[in-house]
Amino acid sequence: MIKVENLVHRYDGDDVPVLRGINLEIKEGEYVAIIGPIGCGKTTLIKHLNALLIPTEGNVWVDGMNTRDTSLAGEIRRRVGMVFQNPDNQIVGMTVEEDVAFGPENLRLPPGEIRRRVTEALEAVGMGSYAQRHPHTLSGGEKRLVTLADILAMNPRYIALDEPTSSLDPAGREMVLTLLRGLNKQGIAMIHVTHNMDEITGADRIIVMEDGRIVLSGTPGEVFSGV
Amino acid sequence: MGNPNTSGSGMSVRGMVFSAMFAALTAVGAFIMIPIGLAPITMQTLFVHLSGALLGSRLGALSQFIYVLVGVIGLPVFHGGAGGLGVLLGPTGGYLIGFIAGGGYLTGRLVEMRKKPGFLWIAMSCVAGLILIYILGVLHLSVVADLPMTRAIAVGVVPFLIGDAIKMIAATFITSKLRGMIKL
Amino acid sequence: MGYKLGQYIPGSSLVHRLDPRVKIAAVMLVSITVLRADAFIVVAVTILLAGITFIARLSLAHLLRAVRPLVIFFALIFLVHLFFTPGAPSPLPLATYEGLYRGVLLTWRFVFLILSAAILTMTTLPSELISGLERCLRPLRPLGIPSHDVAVMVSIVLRFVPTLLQELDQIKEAQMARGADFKAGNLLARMKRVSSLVIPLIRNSILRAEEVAMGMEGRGYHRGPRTYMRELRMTPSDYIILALLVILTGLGVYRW
Repeated sequence: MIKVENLVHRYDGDDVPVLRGINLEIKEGEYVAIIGPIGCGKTTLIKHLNALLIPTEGNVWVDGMNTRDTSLAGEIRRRVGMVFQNPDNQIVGMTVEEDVAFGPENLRLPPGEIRRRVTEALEAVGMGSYAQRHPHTLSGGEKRLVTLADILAMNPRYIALDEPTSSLDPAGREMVLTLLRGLNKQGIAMIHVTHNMDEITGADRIIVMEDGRIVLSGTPGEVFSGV
Repeated sequence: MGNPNTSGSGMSVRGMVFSAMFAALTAVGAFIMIPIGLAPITMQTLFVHLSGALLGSRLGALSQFIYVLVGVIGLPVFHGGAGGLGVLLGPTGGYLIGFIAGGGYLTGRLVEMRKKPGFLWIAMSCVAGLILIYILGVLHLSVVADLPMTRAIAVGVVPFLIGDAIKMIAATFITSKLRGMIKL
Repeated sequence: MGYKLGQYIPGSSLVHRLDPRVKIAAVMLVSITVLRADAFIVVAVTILLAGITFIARLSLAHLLRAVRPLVIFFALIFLVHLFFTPGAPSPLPLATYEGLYRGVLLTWRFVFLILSAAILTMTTLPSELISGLERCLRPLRPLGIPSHDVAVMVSIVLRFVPTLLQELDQIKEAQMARGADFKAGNLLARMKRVSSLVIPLIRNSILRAEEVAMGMEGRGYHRGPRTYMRELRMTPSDYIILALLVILTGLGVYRW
């Protein structure tokens, strides 16, 4: 379980906090959608879920581990995978398979195990035949799938996604959403940040953010009837 | 930014990535040309100076070290698409060492000395870096090509003076424009 | 964009299959030998190079392509020696036979340095080169050279050069659509236009670097030791070749 308690975040040099007291629990296997206007703090919030940011006030626990404890950052990041908005800047390998291997290599797994995970992760996103391709030759949708494989290769329990379908065409978007639902069925919790209402009807829970706060939280039925 | 991995001692992951990105930009600089006469000026050395002036001495020198290393293991990132250890040991190898020591380190060190370096200070820092590049380049050239110093200067400095002067101006202009953007 | 990452030419020859560390060592050793070589060693090494080229099934055209970028510089060095070396006069005014000999020897040394490195990259995948480099740098770690981080940085460079070139094209097209003409105007005007290309390119690269760093940390990257998917294993033929190389270099250096 991920537990966020009274989370306040202020970026260095800013007077006004981006997050002003967030309380949130995400259970294992849950599909949580976070929506809200641009600048409401949703991206900042999910960066806290895998210790990329440390709270200015309050606490974030991932399976009981406090993100303030820097010695736990590695384990927290293994459990909570992070998929950023622009896939191009998340791919660091010269080839697709080397990129997918990057995470497991950071976990210091033995070579055979890395190879096995890379193959599995690429198969899981349907990119098995792209292993040797260079990233700059891939389409936007293909790059997005590679970044999902990147995270899957680390065997995460949770995946936080920041606008994973922005910049994709309708077909690419449908493919990614289907993939996310499939992974969720296999037990991986999804924390899906978006500003697109159509994408979140299948979520277990919807969280509406505004101006650094959670203003509404509930099942899609509850939230949409409240709007 | 309150990042656990960057608060420790030594180089941060951000610093590493910035250095690598400027090494990549230096390679890309070979593809940006100003067409003048027979030999177009490439913007490669512009990025050499920018790496020091924008990233500072340590990361600037690191970025040029990585750039040279990528070329030395044979990838075609040097001027005109050459690559390999041969380029380092060959006639132009001294300039590459100069990129690290002059463009990366010295220029960066000088720019760092002022909290808010002015136009003139940045320009002088770049020129100082360039002079060191020339010195190392000419020394190396005269040794490996077995040339007396005057001839080494005639071959290794004179043809590049105009192009380098233009690039100094551009480097200064770009540095003063973008310096505030990088927070390392 | 026709940019190719490296000059790798796929193949399965003995040269292709050698451990990248052995190949890197070979280029280093032979380059050092040839630096002060006399005519005898230059001929010997040329024969060796021709043999390797044949075994690796590379063509003369491949080799020429590697030398082309530096041709003007080589020509300059050759001519300087040809005309400015004192000695017996030749039919050409100012030129001497001594100058011809020195010019050919020196220029060929440089060509050789380029060629031996070119054969390395033509027969080794970039990713193998990086693995080889990382292993070769490991002994330097006590000196403060972090081999793992260096390998990651080199791979980021190779990853992003093609992307930055694509971006450069996009910026250029956008500006030409707005009427910028890159081939007209005086020098200052052209310089200004180049700045208008370079500034957005750097600005985007800075934002990119921020995101790349964050993405790497998000995937558990931390400086220091990591493991690798690609394993390097020295085979008996690797050891034999390495031993031969060391002996040859020893003989070459002995002649200095």
